[in-house]
Amino acid sequence: MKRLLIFILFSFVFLLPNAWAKEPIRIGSKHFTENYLLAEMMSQLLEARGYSVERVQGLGGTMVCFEALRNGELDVYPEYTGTLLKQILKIKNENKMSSVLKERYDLEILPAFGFNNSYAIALNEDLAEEKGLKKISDLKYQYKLKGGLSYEFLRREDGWEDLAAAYRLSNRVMGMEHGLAYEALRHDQTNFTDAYTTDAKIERYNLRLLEDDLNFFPIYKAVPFVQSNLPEKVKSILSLFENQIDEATMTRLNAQVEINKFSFAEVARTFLKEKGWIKKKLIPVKLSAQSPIVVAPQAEKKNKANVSLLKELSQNCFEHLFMVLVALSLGVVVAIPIGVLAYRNEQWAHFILPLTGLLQTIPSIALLALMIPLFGIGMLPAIVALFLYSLLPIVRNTYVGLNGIEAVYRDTARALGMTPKQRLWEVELRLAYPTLLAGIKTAAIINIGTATLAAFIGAGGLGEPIVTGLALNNHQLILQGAIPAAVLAIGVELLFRLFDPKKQLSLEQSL
Amino acid sequence: MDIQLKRLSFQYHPKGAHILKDVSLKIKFGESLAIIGPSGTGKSTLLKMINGLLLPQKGSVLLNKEPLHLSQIHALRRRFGYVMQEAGLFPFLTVEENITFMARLDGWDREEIKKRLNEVLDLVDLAGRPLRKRMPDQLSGGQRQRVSMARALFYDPPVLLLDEPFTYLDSLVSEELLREFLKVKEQLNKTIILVTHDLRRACRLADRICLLSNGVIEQDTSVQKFLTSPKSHLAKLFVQTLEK
Repeated sequence: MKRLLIFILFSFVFLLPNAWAKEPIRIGSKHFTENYLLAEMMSQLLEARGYSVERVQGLGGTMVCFEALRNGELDVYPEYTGTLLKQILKIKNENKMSSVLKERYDLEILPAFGFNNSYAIALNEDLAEEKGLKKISDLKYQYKLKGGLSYEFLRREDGWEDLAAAYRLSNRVMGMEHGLAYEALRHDQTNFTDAYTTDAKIERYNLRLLEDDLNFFPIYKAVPFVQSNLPEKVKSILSLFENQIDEATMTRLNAQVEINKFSFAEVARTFLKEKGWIKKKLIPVKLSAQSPIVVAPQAEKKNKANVSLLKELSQNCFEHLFMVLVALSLGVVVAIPIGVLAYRNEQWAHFILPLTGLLQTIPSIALLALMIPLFGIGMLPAIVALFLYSLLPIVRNTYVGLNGIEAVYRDTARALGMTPKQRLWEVELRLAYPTLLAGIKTAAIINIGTATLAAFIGAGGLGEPIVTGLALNNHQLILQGAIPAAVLAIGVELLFRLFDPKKQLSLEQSL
Repeated sequence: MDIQLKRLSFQYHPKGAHILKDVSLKIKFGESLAIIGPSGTGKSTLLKMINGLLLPQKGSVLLNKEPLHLSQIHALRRRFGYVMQEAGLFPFLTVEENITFMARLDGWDREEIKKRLNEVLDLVDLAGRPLRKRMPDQLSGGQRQRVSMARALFYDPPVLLLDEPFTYLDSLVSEELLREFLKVKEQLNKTIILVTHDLRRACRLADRICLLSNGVIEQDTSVQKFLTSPKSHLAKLFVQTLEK
């Protein structure tokens, strides 16, 4: 096992040749527009000052980012003071925040960007007008209205539960992906959702924000959240952002991405230029895999976009396949012997089969999250998770395939005088081969699907455009990941036909 | 190789019915014995105990007066040629690969294998036919049994165990296969133990008949004697089948 891990680590070195050599500054972000943008601005500013930057954007939520920063997998990501207090530190006194951060985790926050992006409750303007809703307290009398809330808001310390208690709300709510919550609202599937006060979608969907009349929500000032040991020079560069972005500016920048469909990279570059922090045209903007594709008005730009689309697509596909292949190979190497063990020993089978089944029932996102404390973020934990998922189909099919061998072949092999080892290798595994292969194929297809979720922990792959697309509610981007994933799955199906057992029958030397 | 079965008992489940009850039998080298009886009376079970595919719960199997040792069982099984009702050819191997399978695993020399392959194919009358490279599913039932026979003969074992080899064959093909067995019996000096419920063919191949019923030997005598003076009711029924 240890050797295999080393093998994977080596593969990483080949995949990201520059990543460790130059020790770039790793800048992360959560998977919503504003966080992507802030991360991209910080990245470009540092690049303009000659630093090399690695973007680890679109991570799946606060805990993923925080764990990554804490484990030294990230150097910086944009966080919010309210989240730090309530969710991470679980303290009330804002003045103690810096000292507790330093003391407990050796992390610190830099001066705030300026705006306050608090949570708010949003609903359709028409509905709000009709029911006369202006404040959150008004919701109390509208208990029939249904909420579609982001999972994070539903669960976090300063989230729905406390809000409902403070305002005595009894509305029915359900959790959903945040990008989809607005769509649900638009189609009247739900009546209200949690929103960020700088969210561009508020205008786009014509939503009304209810006034937080009890001052329930803490202040959520965006800050660069960094490792204490980051060079002072870097810290001082990032401190340039101090109070440079107010609510209106942030909402406008968000809208440029979400409504005007500019890429994060472009919006960030334009902003930095406006500030005069970078020079025009001289900045080489590295195409980050995360930046959404822009349909620009000029034909020339469109061409560039097409080229970058291809480049991005092939990069995503490559990462995706790499994860799937490594995980699947490990799965084959480990699962087949386990399946044989279960076949040879019925008592072990009673133990092994339910255990692999249990692994399969862990939801993918949960399994990925569980991997972070052990393996950090990026491809390694994703590969481990995919490996675990590949076990069940291969173990089970090995077991079923071996058990399904007709008694006559087993008797013949024994009557010929074969040893148990010869029987296994020369007869039983070859007879079980079609079933075994079907198990590997199932594992491969499951892996291709599940690997799209690996983007939540920064592993890249085809999940990256999907996650970004969900954050932006951009269908084109979602399809940009989903279609290649489907094509890969079909490709795997076809590839496995090449290994058709009938063509494999006579590999023995002919005499 | 002399074979002696001493008071064998066998049951598949500890509380289930006895398949074999206290069965004793002596078979001298070169003898040809037919074990007959209705289906489900333990004929195949008895045969599988001779080469250790099944182990008796009580009693013992002696080969040349030596008890069967588990440590040598794999080597020992090569000294029994075993032909089953379903030929048991491996579907992923060609005819010649099937026949030479064990020899290749044992690391025989290529030339040696080739030579022996031609000999056994000759023995079962398959030498002239171009089916060496065919897969088992491209063969007729009779051809499959002959290939199985060739495989059983490859190591030139002193004992041939034939477990209902005619079951899945029509009478014409059965007749052909029987002639192959008779040829082997004439040409090679081997012990032949045939399990069948077909008395007609049993009589033609064997010198001695052993009637098994409900796990017990009802009659064990020469073919001549069995036909002229069947002891039990069942034995008489069997003999009557010949008169039709």
